[in-house]
Amino acid sequence: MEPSQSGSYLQSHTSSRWTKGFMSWFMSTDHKRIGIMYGVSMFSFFGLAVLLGFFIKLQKLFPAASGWEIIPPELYGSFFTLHAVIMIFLFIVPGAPAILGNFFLPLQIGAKDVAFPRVNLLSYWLYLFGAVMAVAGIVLGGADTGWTFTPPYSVTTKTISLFGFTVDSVSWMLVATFILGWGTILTGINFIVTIHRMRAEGMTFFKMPLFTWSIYATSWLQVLATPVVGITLLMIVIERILPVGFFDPAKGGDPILFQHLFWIYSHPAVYIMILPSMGLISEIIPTNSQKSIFGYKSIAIASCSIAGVGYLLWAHHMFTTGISDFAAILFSFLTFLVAIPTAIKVFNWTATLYKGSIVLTPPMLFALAFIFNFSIGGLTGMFLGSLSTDIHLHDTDFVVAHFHYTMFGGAAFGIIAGIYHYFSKMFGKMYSMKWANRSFIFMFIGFNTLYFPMLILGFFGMPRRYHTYPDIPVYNNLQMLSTFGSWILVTGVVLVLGTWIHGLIKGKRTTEQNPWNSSTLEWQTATPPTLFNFEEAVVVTREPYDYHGFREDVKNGKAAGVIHD
Amino acid sequence: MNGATSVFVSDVDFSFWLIFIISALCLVGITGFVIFSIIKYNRKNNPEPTHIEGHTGLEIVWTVIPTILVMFIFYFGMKGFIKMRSVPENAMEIQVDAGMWWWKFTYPNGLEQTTGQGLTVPVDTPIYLPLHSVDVIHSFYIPAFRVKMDVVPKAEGEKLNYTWFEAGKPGDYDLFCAEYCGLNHAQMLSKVHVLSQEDYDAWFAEASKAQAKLKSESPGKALLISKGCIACHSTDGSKLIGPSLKGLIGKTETVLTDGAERTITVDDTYLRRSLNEPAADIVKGFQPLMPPLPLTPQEVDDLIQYIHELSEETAE
Repeated sequence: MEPSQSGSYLQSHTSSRWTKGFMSWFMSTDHKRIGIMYGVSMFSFFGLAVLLGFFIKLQKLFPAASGWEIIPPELYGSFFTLHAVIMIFLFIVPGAPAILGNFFLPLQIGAKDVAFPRVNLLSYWLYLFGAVMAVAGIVLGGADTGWTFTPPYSVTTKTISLFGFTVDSVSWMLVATFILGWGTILTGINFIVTIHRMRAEGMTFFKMPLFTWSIYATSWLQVLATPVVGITLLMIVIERILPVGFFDPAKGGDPILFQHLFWIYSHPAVYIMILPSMGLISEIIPTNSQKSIFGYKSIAIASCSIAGVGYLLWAHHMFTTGISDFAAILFSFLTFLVAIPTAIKVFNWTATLYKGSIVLTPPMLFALAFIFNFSIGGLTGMFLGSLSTDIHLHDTDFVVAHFHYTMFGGAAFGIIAGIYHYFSKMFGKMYSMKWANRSFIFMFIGFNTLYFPMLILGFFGMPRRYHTYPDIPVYNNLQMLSTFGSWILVTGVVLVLGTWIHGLIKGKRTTEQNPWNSSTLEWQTATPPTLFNFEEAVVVTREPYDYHGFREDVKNGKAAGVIHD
Repeated sequence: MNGATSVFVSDVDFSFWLIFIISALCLVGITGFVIFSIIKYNRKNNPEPTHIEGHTGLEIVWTVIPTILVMFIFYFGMKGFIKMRSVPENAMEIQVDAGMWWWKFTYPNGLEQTTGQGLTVPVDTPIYLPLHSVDVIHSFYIPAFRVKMDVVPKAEGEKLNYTWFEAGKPGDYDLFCAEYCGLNHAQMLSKVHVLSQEDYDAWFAEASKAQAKLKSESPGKALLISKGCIACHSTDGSKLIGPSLKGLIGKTETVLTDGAERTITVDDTYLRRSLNEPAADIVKGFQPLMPPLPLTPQEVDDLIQYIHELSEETAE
């Protein structure tokens, strides 16, 4: 029996034996189901990491001198390591491409699925296997290397037995990260091929929506950068198990070599994290302003230039490691170059609002908060790209606040905005607007109350990864304020997840195709989409953000930019 | 010295406030425009959007102006950095050693100062600091001086990392480890004491004399301080990272050897093995954290002798 083409993808309609319940999802090669499985897995891990972050901040409420200790120092190292490993490798690096990219990339370019649906499912399995392995490793054995795994510490650190198990959890976690890397590489290849080969008729590169552009740039980064970190982490495993010394100077190795190899991946990874969210913002702002995005081509080109220049900046994480002065100056110069396409994007989004018809929906609120938070994240990056100020601020709370402004206030706010934006399309149900708005207020205020004080703490020299801090009034006050912020923020996260879960279970059913009146292709099909996305073959005739033409067509009763033949 | 705490402060802070002002203006501009648009072009006020696809002139302006601004920022950052990397010829050298979780500062005449004593320097004098690590990467950070450099373990014969500073105002300043180095990273704190030249000379003569005296009278105790042992092993019976050295001789302990528990009585043979191979026997209730130390047989004997003295004190 041929699979039925009509009917929502949420209903079971495959002819295989995996037709019902859990297996109809776990064995599904449908890009939409895979996207949702990623979403459920990733937000579960995200919740766990938020909880760890909550305890990390709680530990900093008072200085040690006051006798305050919520987490003993042995556990503190494992807490911030697990928090970072989950947030980075299990959530923010694969997040937007895996959840929303999987779901909406084929829809945005008018394809039936990704190019290699089975490889896509394999990517998910690799992700899940690696993720469970990484978390189990740290939970059973404890690992306090930080997500940067810096040797020689990561080579010499003894694993701490927590529940009577003695696991070499550092090696375990490194192998898990290696496996996760495979999933990422396969997803990247899959998306690149999909974009090159599966676009609908009329969908030229410069008619692609900007989210697709950002996924395209990201995928190249994933394919080219991830193998470097994979091999580098395996080298640490080899060094831990066998008597070889790549990085341990006692055995003739060089610990700085590791940092070069690690950041050659991990700096581009920063753009893997942020670019897809920038793409989502580029969808949400035009939709909620009913207006063409300002400078479509320059945003598309900026995505690719950020991805390109992003490869050449890695050593700006290493100005204090003793790399040559010439290298430091060169990398500082290159770092300032990447500031320019980033600034262009922010200006373009802002200019899009001008003379629009703006409506403050929950996704729009998160998108505008993205612009604010990400601007702070980008601007504080200049303090760290500039050499003399970086020497002072490096490895302080300033850096921690800076990357949370880009990764959390930026990338994660972008993903949350994206899910609020696409919720009804994905599930055929709508969340409560009232609670969505409340979740936004808590998230935005909590986020800034948590992280802004950390910028100031860093300026006053508060080093990062400290279990406690010297009893100095300026530290005490700002740390306490920051901890208060964490309580508001955690409330916000609970409200966001709660609003979604409530929406899934009790939300109002909807089959409205295009509730926000968006001009891009993914909205011009059934809600929720059918198995093969579009009922009929798609021919694209219009620019993606031609709201003028789109509104004319809607008035005349035509579907937007799509001709059904 | 116009009252700054170190010669780097003016350059670093100039760059900092320059970037701060540019950033603040950008942020206020962007946020202001967003708020203005939300109000002015709200769907209620402006139901029909105006069709605008872009504006090449405007895009050129906001590409060129940021490019010029960031080049200025880059230049001033580089200027301050070059100064930090150029050590004056006449600088006084103090070697910095770092280990888990202690600092040691060695003066040209061999005077050694530990974490608790801190780094004492004369005001208005350039100090050159080669940075040596005995185990993992640490980072030498004096926030008030705007000085930071990683203390990276190097293979035999490789050039050490270095930093330098010239303090401008007498006083006590915090010295932190800024690179995560394990359990007691947050306790790897010391102080920099900046003294007037006069006070410094007096202190230096006094401290050198005291150290010479200690070395001749109790070489074991001197080693215990200079090797950093006291960061983890107390001499008064209190429990730190490792077992206390007080009353150790003749004590019965349960230790883990190759994963198996056994009971031993502490004697010279046991102490010698523990000093040479710290991971061989781990006393129950402690973690295997002690790094192997390069000790000569004479030094091992001196340390064991001092541990005996500590035990005899207890017996009295």
